[in-house]
Amino acid sequence: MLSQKLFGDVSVLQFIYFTLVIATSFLFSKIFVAYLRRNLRGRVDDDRLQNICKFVYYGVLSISVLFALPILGTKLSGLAVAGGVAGVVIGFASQNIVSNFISGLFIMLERPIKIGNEISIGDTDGVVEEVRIMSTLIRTFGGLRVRIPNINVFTSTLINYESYPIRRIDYIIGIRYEDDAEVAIAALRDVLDAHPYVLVHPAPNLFVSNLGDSSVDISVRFWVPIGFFYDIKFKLLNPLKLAVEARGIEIPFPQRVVWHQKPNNKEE
Amino acid sequence: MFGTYHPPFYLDTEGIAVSVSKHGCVNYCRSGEDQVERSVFGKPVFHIHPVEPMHLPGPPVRALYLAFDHPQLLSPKQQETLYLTFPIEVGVFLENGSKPYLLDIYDKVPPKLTFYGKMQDGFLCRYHQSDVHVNASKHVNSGFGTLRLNLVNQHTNWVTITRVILNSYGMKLFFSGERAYMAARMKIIERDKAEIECLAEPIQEHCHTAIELFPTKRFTTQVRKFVMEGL
Repeated sequence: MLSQKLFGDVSVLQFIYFTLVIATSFLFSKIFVAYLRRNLRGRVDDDRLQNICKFVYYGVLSISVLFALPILGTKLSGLAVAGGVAGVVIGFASQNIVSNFISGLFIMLERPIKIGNEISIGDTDGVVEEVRIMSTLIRTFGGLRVRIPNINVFTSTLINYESYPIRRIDYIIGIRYEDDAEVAIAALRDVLDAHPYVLVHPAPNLFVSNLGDSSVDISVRFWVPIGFFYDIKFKLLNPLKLAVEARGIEIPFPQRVVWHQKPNNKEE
Repeated sequence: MFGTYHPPFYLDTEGIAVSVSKHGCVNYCRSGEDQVERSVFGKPVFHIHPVEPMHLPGPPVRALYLAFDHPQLLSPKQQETLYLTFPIEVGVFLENGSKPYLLDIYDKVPPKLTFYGKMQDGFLCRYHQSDVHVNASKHVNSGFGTLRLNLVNQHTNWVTITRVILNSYGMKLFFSGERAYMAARMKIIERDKAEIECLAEPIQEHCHTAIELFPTKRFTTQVRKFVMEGL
């Protein structure tokens, strides 16, 4: 019964043997990937670990399929010829898919982004959730999931907000022309000095940057750890405002001086 | 203040009150701006020790950056011993026949961070500007510990030193009463480069070794010596 032909020249025994080899390799690759994941976790970045696991998993499966195909009587040399012809046809038909795939490989090798990074690609801002072989998944700050084809990730201008451990916050604070800018700068500096996450080095930079229509503008630039950027940016502006106000300095509204000139007499 | 305590106890200076309820539950309470309250089951012993001052305001940073209040000049091949101050962080540990468990950590002085190194590979440090003395001062303000720094100029030129950076790994703290101590060696190996190592030796008698917090975390490597660029 086992020598009975199932289809073509393939017997039931050959088919069972082929299935066993594939199932074993499938099981082996699963176990091996689980072993890798357990042993490399904590030693390798999450995104790199994910790529290694994917590569090993599909690599083991591909090799085992290539080794198992001769069991069914398939000659690999024939596959190569057929593959060459099919490759030309598929290549023309699937340029976008191939370019996304190649871009995905380059992104994985070059690693301009990591999982968890805050990035901006084109009009999309968000956190990288996953870098797949064909596309990259972004979770926007508004809670939307955006799938960006890797060719767009690779060819667009990409801003990674978390490449460096620290980041600069810039504020512009306007004061009245009659106020002393040096006093205002001293008040602002006191607030920055008292804050634990405003870094001593690189030193904060405070200076009069513009003489505006309604105010003297003071630029306040300081560096913070990247993990606290938004928290500090949103919370520190009000204490800075209160600090200058405590010194009797006001932040002016836009204003325009209008002169009304009365004619001396009606005849004129 | 530093030492081992059996509940119930009360430390007025620290604002720590540990009481035992009639059901045997131990209540830990620390007053202050960042009030902490915990209920502990079991019969733990409390250890209150100085810990590496790099955990607050959190998350832990890699090094302690001590800026000198004025630059120190060292002649070629000279050795000198300086005494600096460092900020104290206090760790409250529980122990009940097992490894000490960190229950609470608090600061004696407001923390401040700085950045050391190049943008690509630099790291965050706890910052402190220290007075520099040639003798161990007995009048160190509360909240600060004493660091004995052995300076060794192996270079053939004069060098100016304005700061020292201590790596968190391998930092050894000692305490006696309310005082915390630490010792380190700074070898100037090039004009602009020094090798810094924390020493596992108390700088005075009757000191106890403090519990190290960094080794209790899951760090895989320990680098005891640290090469600092830019003196």
